[in-house]
Amino acid sequence: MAAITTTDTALLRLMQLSSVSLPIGGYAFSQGLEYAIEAGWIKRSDQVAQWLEQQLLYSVAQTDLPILKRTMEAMAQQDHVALLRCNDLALACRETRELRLTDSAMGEAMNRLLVSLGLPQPLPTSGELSYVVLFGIAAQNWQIDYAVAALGFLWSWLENQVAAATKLVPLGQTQAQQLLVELQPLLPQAISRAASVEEDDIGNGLQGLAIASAGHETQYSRLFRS
Amino acid sequence: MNNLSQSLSASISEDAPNVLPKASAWNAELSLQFGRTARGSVLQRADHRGPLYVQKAFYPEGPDLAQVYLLHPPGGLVSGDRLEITVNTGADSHALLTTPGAGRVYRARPDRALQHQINTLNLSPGSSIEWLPLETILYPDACTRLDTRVNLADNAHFIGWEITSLGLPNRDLPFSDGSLSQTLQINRGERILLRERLQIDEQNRGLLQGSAGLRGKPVTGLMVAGPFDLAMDENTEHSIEPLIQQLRQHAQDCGALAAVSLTGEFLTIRYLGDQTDLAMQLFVRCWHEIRPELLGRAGCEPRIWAT
Repeated sequence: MAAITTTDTALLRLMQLSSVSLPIGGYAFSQGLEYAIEAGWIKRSDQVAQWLEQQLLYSVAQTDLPILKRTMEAMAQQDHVALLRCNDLALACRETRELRLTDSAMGEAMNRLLVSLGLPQPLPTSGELSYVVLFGIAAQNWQIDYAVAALGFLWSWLENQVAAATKLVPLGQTQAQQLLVELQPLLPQAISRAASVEEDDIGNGLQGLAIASAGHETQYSRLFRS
Repeated sequence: MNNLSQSLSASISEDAPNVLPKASAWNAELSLQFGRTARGSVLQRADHRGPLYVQKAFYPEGPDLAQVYLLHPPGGLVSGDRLEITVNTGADSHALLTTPGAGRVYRARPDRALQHQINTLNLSPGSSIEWLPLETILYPDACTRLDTRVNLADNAHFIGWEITSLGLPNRDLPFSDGSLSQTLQINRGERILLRERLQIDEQNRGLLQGSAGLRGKPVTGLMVAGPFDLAMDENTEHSIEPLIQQLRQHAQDCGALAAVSLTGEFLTIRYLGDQTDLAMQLFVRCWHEIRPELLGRAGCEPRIWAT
């Protein structure tokens, strides 16, 4: 096993960037899960696992990760045109108003954080900013490698989604931890799938999830913003 | 015509799997140019190569808008076929395009040469395109890429839809081993405004049945309309919200899973169910609501839809 030293600053920064305590409000977005549970599509822990697995392997691996990778490359080369294209593409791939809001609200919060930490953020702040792209900008600023940055990105996504399911299904704390253990092996799998996605093939819609997310816009009683 | 190409496709895949002459692949291209003249929106050029063409433009709602039927006599794509449709609208011209029948993508031959359709719509300032084809039916084991790219100039507007049948639900034939890469992308200048993709292949076949994916439903549809000027939402008198409410009502009444949302400057309406005609019905209803708001004209259905 590779030794991790206490001076491994990139690892520490990755932990900071992926922590649920990062003030970007990730806990506020269920990304359609709240509606799927309300509609009775999801009732049990194993159904949560299936839902998240699909989202992870078919959508996040095909959309968010390839964009994260290209963002970090563009940032390393100070290619601001490519960076803007990543931001446009990330937002353009969001299938509903609330999935787009999830990305842009967290993006805006991440932008404020980068500014207050004194980190460079070259994108114009007049338009919407994508969280995935801002995460990539932060990771590149902190010289974190793409593969570990991707793992941190996925982990914080997974933790937020499982936390949402814990509140909504509801699940016990132990069940939630079991779910995390069960889904962890999918994270490297998602990263390896993302590696082969060509630029033109970025993006993949999940029609069920998109319909759930659109349904959430008019859900009568709701805890989450998406 | 459809039966002919169906049986042609069947004999191709069963009798002569590996030694097909190149000629069996039909590469067809169609390029249309609409322009605004003193006589209205005129189809100025229609260049074609291969079995893909239009006859003439129809003007059921007056000279301002040309309705055109895209004709593809083979009725579908076999392995190696490539269909390329390009539509250019000159400034302030308006075109509506539809098809007289379903598009088909037949079962792939063993060589699995790509069955590829590329639609490119280039809109000049002040123009509009309505892209309203009937459904595309993907036969089991088809291997296809369907790309639609819309390039908008400023103040150009687009309404379009894609209705896709994965397999032949009426004959109980699922999409099984087929693969699909379907993209609808809308750009304005260099900026990407919307990209919608559906990809089904070996790695993600699970989304056919998955609860977050197609939920075991064979028919999926997407309608997109825009861009809407969202600055107008500041002014409640011209808010887009009442329109969204009406569309939601249609979605709720359509007899299948359906939903409406606004992503960026574009309205999106989704259908997920068992029947292409229900998807079409929903989208036509929504089109009647959207058209006056976005294009300032009432719905006027192409006559061919009634046949």
